[in-house]
Amino acid sequence: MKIELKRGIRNKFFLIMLFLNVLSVFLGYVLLVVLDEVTKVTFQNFVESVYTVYTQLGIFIFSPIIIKQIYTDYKEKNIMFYKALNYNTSRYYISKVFMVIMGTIMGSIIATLLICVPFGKFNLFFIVFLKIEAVMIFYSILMTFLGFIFSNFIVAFCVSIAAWIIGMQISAISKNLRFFAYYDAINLDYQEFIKFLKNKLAFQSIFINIGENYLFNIIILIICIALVNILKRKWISNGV
Amino acid sequence: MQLYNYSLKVKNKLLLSNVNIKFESGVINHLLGKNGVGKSCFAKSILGVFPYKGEIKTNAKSIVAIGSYTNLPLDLLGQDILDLTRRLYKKETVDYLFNLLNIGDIPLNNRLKNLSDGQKQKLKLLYFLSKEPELIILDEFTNALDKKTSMDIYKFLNTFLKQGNITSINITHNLSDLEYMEGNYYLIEDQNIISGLSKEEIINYYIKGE
Repeated sequence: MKIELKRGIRNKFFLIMLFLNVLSVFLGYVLLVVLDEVTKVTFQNFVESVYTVYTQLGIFIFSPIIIKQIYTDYKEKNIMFYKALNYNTSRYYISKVFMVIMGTIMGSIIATLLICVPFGKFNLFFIVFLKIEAVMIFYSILMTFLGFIFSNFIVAFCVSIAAWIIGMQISAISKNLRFFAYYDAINLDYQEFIKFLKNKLAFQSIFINIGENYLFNIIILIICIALVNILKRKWISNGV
Repeated sequence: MQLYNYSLKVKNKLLLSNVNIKFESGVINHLLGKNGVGKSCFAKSILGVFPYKGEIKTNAKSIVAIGSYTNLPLDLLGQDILDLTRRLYKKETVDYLFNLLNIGDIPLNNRLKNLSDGQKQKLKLLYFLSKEPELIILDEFTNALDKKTSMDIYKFLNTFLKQGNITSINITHNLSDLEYMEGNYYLIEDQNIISGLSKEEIINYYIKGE
């Protein structure tokens, strides 16, 4: 884990993540003012707009830098380096996800500060942070997994976009299939958060919603770790 | 290391068929062959990348394969690699390799990507060999090195790889390897590994096709 954090610092991953989060907040503001033509920006519509950027555009903004963390290892044939450290596939995958999540936590804190400070809404800081970070953790788990599977950067990126589109179409078939596009704006999770911002959902309910978000992420992580273990030969063949 | 009835098929192409051969320890085993005959695939099969038929018998508990790629994260500093190596492995081994490879001459505060190929290769040898592997596979290792660095590396490998407990296989196209590192010579041809060749024979066979 320590070596991953060191790499994250040396290759400016953490710095890039901070920049991308600031960019997402800025995009949220621009979309609100330019596209929606809102003249008076309120805390509620600003959070809604930024959160929409994370859920709808996040895949385009964050997946390249996340996929690159594994792609670089495959390109430089670094897997022997990790094998010499007695890493196995799941340890390698988990350490990458851990490092990416460290970056997303820093980024989400900055993004939440940029949202809350101008309006002095510090009482909602924790909730906004947890909602944004839940989306980011989901991206971290999934994009790292795709980077793990595909040694080609372009293929991994295109598959992530295709999976996002297909996921949305599947989830549109039935409410029971909403897990295929869990954080997407068409689904319940997003709508619950918007209801909360409009004071139509109680504090207790939003915490239950956040709990469900993190449980969903844990389940996705467990599935990915299981798949990574099955695909251990792929790891060696991609990076040795 | 011995191969018994060893066969290797990759993507429906039979590369090696029913090979029975021994690679001695304490000597550098050079493995040559034309492009596409399966030299690197053979190395990868030893590492478990490709499945094979037959048996590879080796007492090696630890195997390393070092290629012409960096094999180390380029975003790290040389000092990071040295610190990591010191933390992981025996002090005497690291110090011995540090001196033998003249690591002190490398600007360790530079990122690996800013070091020369030769400096990277030396740090790579330090990192991977400090683990004291019993089986070492070098795959086109001396590619892209200048003459002086190559000579340093040859001097090092001639000392290090000739220790009795190490089995080494040097996959190469570089005839300087044969010139400056005496050893056993093997040729992959017609889905077989031919052994017992002299240096002159393998050069004639390989280069002139005689």
